[in-house]
Amino acid sequence: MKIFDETSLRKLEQLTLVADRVRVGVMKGERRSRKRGTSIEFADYRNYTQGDDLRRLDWNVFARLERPFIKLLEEEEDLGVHLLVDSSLSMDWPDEDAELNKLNYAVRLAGALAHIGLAAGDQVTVTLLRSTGNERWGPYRGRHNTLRLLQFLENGRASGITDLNIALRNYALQSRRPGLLFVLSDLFSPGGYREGLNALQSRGYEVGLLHVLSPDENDPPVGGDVKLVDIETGADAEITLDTSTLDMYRERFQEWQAEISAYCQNRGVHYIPITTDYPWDRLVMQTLRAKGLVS
Amino acid sequence: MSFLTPLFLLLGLLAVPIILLYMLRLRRREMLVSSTMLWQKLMRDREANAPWQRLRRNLLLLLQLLILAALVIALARPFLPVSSVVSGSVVILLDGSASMLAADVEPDRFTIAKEQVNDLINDLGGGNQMTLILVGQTPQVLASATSDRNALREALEGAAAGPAAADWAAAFALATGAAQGFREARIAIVSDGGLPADLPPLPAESVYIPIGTSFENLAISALATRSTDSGPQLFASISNYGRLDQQVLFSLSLDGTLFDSRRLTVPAGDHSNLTWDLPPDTAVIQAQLSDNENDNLALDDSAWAVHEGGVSNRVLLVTEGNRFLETVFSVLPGMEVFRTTPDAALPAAEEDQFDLYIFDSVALPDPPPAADLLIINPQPAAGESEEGTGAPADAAFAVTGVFSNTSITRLADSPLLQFVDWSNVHVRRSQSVSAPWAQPLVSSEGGPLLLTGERGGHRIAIITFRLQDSDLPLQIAFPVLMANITGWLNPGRAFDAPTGLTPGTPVNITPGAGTTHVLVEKPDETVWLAEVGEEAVIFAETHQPGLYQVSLRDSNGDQPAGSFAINLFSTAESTIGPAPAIILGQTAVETADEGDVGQRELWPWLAALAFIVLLVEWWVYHRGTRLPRPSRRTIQNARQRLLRRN
Repeated sequence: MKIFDETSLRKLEQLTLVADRVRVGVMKGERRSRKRGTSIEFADYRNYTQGDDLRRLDWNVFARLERPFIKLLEEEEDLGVHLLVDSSLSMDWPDEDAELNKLNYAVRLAGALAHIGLAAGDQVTVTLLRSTGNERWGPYRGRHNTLRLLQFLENGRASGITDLNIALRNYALQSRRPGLLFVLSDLFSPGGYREGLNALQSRGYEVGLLHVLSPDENDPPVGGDVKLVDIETGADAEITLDTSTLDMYRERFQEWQAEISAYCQNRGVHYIPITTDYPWDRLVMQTLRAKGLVS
Repeated sequence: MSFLTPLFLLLGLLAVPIILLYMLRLRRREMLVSSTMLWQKLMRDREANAPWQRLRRNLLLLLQLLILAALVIALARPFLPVSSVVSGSVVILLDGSASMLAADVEPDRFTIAKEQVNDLINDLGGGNQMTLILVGQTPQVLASATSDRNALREALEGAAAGPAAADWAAAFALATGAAQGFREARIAIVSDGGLPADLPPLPAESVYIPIGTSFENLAISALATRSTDSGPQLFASISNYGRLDQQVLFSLSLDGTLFDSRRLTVPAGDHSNLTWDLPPDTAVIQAQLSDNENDNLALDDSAWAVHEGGVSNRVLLVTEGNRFLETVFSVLPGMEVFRTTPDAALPAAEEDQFDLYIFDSVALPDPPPAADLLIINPQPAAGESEEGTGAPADAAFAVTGVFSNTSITRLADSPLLQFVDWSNVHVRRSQSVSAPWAQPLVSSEGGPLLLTGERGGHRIAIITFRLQDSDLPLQIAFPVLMANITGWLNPGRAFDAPTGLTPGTPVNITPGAGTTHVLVEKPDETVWLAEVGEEAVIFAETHQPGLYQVSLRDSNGDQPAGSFAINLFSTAESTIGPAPAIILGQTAVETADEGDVGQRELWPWLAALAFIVLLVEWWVYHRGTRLPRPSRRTIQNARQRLLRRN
């Protein structure tokens, strides 16, 4: 699968990911930081104390004044960007239409965000969440990694069941460097998602929840006596679909989305509901910009 | 409820294969969705909300079983027993006589009778047939041996009562014939009674459905004129056929002008007779009863009479003296005879013209009078020699000699010779007459003895022998022949309409010689027109009581030729009281009670129910199968994925 063309990549390079709350760079990045660091921008001097790195001693001052001073430079920090793509079977839907496929869409969106991060010198980690074992790429930084990222994403496949709570909690526990974190999922998770999000937030992540759904989930075009089979869990539901049932479903669906939205708003999670018939580039350029996640 | 063909109920076993097929069919269509999470929730809620949801799954099966049940029961032909006055096949005699127009029941008896018959049609069991006979002046089979209720209703709808007496004898003959076509027939007489006493018994079991409640009716039962020395006199009789004394206003109009009006009290079951002296020139008399609320039949409240006026035809007898002729014409009715001698000049003035000239052994004057002529023993015209070799070209006839071989060889078939016995008539000698325009009615070996014909718009009859030369005047044939001849020569009125004509009686109309058309204006002001041809003109449309005005159309336009009146004057019809029973021969026909059991079949309702349920089932089935079935590939993919997951 070819994820991006050249033009899209160029457009993406002009964007930067923005995190409001998380500013904990460990590596030199391209963002100005409040911390004093190792960049070439001078900030101040301070007295040498034992154990300071001798490399940061200002030898010119030492020669003139014969007193050791440590030159403080302005830190240019990077941002930890985490992209978690739900790769359970339910994301591989609709399987007959690659354009509307949720996993394809999520992978493409993750690629776009990762590329933005790489181009901005952020530390990017992309993880495909699945029960059979997460597939991780990174952390890497630098735009030269884009090609490898794309290869990794193109090879991504959906399989198994994902319990979002467990997957997110594990990720939070394992992480060494919290930062801006995007979860791309349809949230069709038997155990729910709230505990996972809580765990991430308590570890200091700034979380964006990209809720990816296909149009037929929004408005199912079914009718008659059917046996619905869940492609992820294999569970079935026998139901007679008439107009009233379908109306009821749509009602439930909207309630569900509203409930997620309200929860996210209370918790300071950026919630962005997406249907896969919405162009991904417009989503990145307009919707995420409007939400302040991208500038 | 019972069934006519209960064996068809066995078809109900078809429900078993339907249920089996349904169980096979009910394997639900598998459909993949990304997640059933929301659906599961939805189903939990729905089942909690609607416990009948489980039933709904089998709605189609229930509907199909309902259709089957309806069809099977319809095939078994259930019926409800309904109480009915007749059962089985039935011949209905529906009284359409004048008394059925009585308005003692709303709106009138005939309409009620039709409703009764309609009920009988509705109660007609399946497989039973009905024959519907309307008993009017001429009984009429409206529908013959049919079980088609629609046809019967349609036939009944078109039936109407007429203002005439019913011909029950003919109706009974029809009913007898119709009843023989059925296996177990019944005959229902829907009537208000008034059947004649001498009817034959009916061949099948009969019931009588009486119509009407009231006896009260007033009628003009007679209206007639006669000529007296003091002028025309009118006689009228007003009858009360009811059971109560009645007061009524009697009005008399002469030629359209009110002449007299008086209030009468007529005792129950009695009548009042009245006479008037009328002005001499009275022609049309109309009598009317009004102002009585208990008078239920309006048809007999009006009567008309036409006064002839006593005008006689003027006849001029030109003879030396003939006792036979003078005697005969003095006794023939409607003739005013004048006698003159051949020497006297005929009157020339227009107003002195006679209607008929009789020349007895006298030569015709020149020119002959412009009127009908009877010539006896014709004489050659003046100036002709006794032997008469030639006559003027415009002469009516030529006398060519005398013959004595007068034995009769041929009698023409003519109304003029009706009731005239020529077998004993002997003629000594006769004139030999040639008249090309005339038809010989009596021919002898030597030549014609009696000729008739029309010439110049007038009728001429010639008796070629002298009456004294034969024994004809001594025979009974003579006055008959004279009456026939004068009746033909001088027909008098254009039609033969005695007083006391009842509705439906045909009237013979005799047009004049130059008449081309006969016109009759009926009481409802429509005009009946007939062309005069070879056939006699008979006017038969005398269904409405009232005054009929006759006109004859000739080259000068329409000439009024008088009028005649049609009146109901029927005691049987005016006696409107419903008879409690009908006596036929020795047996009384019972009044119908609803003791019999009719069958009202239900299968059309069941068939309609099945059809409606079929529509509902179709709608339920098609309510939202919009999604195409998932392709085989999709299902395989899903299976593989599931396998991979496990």
